[in-house]
Amino acid sequence: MTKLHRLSQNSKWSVLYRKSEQVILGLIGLVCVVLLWQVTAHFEWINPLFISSPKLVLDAAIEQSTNGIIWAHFRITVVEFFLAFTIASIMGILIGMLMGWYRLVEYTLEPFIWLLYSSPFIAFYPLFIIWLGLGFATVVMIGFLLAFIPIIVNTIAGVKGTNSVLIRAGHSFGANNRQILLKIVLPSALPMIVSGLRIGVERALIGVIVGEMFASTKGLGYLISYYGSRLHTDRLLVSVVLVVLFGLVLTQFMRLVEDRLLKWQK
Amino acid sequence: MKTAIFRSPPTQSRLQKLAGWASPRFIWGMGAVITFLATWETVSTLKIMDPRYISKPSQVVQTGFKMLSNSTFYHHLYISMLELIIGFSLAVLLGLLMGLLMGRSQIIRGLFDPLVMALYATPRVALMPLFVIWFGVGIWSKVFVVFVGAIFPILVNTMTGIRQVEPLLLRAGRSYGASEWQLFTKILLPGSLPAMITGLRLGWGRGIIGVIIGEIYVSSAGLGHLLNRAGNALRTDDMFFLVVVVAGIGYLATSGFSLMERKLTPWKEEKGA
Amino acid sequence: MAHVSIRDVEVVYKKHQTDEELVALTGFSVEVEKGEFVTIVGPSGCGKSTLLLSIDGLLPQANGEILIGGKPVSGPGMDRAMVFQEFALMPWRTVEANTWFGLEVQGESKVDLRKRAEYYLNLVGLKGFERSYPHQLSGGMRQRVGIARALAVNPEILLMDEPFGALDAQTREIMQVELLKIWEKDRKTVFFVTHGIDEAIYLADKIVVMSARPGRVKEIINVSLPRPRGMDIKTTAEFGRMRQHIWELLEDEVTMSAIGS
Repeated sequence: MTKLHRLSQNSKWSVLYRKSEQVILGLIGLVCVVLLWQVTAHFEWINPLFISSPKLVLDAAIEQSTNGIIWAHFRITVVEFFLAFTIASIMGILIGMLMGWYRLVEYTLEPFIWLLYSSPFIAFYPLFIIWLGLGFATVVMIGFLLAFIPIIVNTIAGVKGTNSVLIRAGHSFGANNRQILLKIVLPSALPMIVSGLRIGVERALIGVIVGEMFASTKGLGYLISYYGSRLHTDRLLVSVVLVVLFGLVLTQFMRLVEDRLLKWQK
Repeated sequence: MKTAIFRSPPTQSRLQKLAGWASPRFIWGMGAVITFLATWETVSTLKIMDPRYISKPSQVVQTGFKMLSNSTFYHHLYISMLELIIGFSLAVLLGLLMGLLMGRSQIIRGLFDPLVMALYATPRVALMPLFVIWFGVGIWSKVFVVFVGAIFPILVNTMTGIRQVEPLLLRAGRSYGASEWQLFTKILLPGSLPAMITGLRLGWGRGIIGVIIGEIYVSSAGLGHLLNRAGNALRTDDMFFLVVVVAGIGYLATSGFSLMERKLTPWKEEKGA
Repeated sequence: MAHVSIRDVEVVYKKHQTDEELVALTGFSVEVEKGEFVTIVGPSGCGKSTLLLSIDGLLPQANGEILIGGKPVSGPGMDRAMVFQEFALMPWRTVEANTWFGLEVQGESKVDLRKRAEYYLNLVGLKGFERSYPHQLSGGMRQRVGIARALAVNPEILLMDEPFGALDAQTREIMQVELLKIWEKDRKTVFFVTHGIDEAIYLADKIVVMSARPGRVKEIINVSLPRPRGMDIKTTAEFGRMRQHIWELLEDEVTMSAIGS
């Protein structure tokens, strides 16, 4: 143990080792879980109906992949997601900045934001269906509403957290309101905004999936619900895994963006 | 005479501490809400939009009274609260325990962290059909949804709370001769209390959403079930009222947690006050 | 005509949501000639920063007037530039981007920005650090960026609000010498606020000693020590005499502040 420790201390492998430590541990954990799963299913310690098995899921995955079902629905989910997230980001940041900077705007809009935050507006899905029709628009709407809020909240916090000395310096050098907002407040709020966007990404995905489950006939969420009601656990899990993977890719991407944008932080 | 207004960007809301009811924040907020309600009522009454699909405040209030005087409403409320409380309690037990262990011990954290992070990242809504397969259409699938939703914020916040306790404080404790147990009860616990309460608050919020969505998905009782029925029958008034009820529960809970936070952690400064 | 005339100035703060009034400065008067280095020394909370902000045009006067070159101050302008105690550098900008901030805000062209920033960074001794970020710099270096930024807009008047207050004692002494060296080149009119009596005497042509809040002028001292001044001047008898005198002036005021009256 000590030899390994000393090795990791002073060789150039040490950095590489520490970074990959997380990934390796994760992978080992994952492999263990999958093995456990397969064994449990094989010996039927738990009814395979409940948990299926890696092999069955894999078969189902290949089947759905070759006949294109999974990709058709996946494509729809992806498009809905990006639309919902993009609109939520743009509107969220804009409104968040206005609310963070102008006190009156904050006072008037705050109750509504709070209401949106605490209400299970998914319950309104029948109304959404009536207003926007079954499928695409409703799903995007739900994803948008869900993602919108953390983005606004974080943007407001970011704007309000701007160091007042920096703003004073801006005034001192003769910057006008617009310049102060763009050159000082916005960059200063960026860490929190990006944090909000990261949460927004998760929420948008969840919103889209939920929307598809309740208010659509297309998309991964719909597939999950469909197979769920028919107890096709293996096919259900294929979609679930795909959703999780998609979510992971998005989260990693956001992390990269975050690092890139905020390289000036220690 | 010109006075210099204390110019600085608006600070974080000072909430209930200051002026309270007479504060501009409250007045403007209330004003906005009242304007909105008035517009809503007008638009609906004048049939600018179809009142069947958007209802109106007066009708929602009426329906509300009707529902509240009907005992079945309380039965459903009871079911939802039951699912919520059982699920939440389980989450608190396991979440606090695991959070404390993981926060305190490097080894345990190393073992479980990847697993926890992976599970946290999984959208539990997507797993709801699976939960139904496991636990059936009764209250237990909802309890499980609440449990899964609430446990992660509680665990993660507790863990981070323990970890962020200033090592300097621990060092000071040790230099005064405190035992490990004393360090834990007198420094780590109080130090991580704010974070824990935050975790509880977040967990409760996710729990409420979980209950409702779970009941909408499949159930035979509960507020979400009522919502679903109302939705399918397009009883818009009912829907709005029920949503208000759920939001109300959320608000009470948030206030409750804020109160708890103030009582239990009076030393916490309000940021930007 | 004096370069800067401050006559009978009173500045009152009004708290945002209550109606509390706070008199920060009252009956404040001093005349400053062009090229004079004026230090302002007083106890905590006496309104030193308020004075600078008023001269900078960021705070209105309730009474009295501030004249620069005979014309009253009505808002911030390019003729004055401020250096802040907490540096006020934008952490997301490089050192040079921070330096040219004032020029950028005025709409100067990108080419000029870089050249001017380079020149002033060289002047303050930070050549080679143009592309670094503030967090990579020490406190003293960061403040030098702050000074470069202020100089870059070529102001007539330099306003320095306890610029060395956040630095450790040793760095502070070095920065005092550096500042004088930079100042000698151009001899701008400087208002330098400080807590430190030694610092106030060492740098100044004229010292304004302030009372505790509400701030007013307790005494104006003309410093006739020869320039250029090395650090050894702090050990001379003349220096010591002035230090003692100022300390006596401040003693009561400081005690009042310290016990929070």
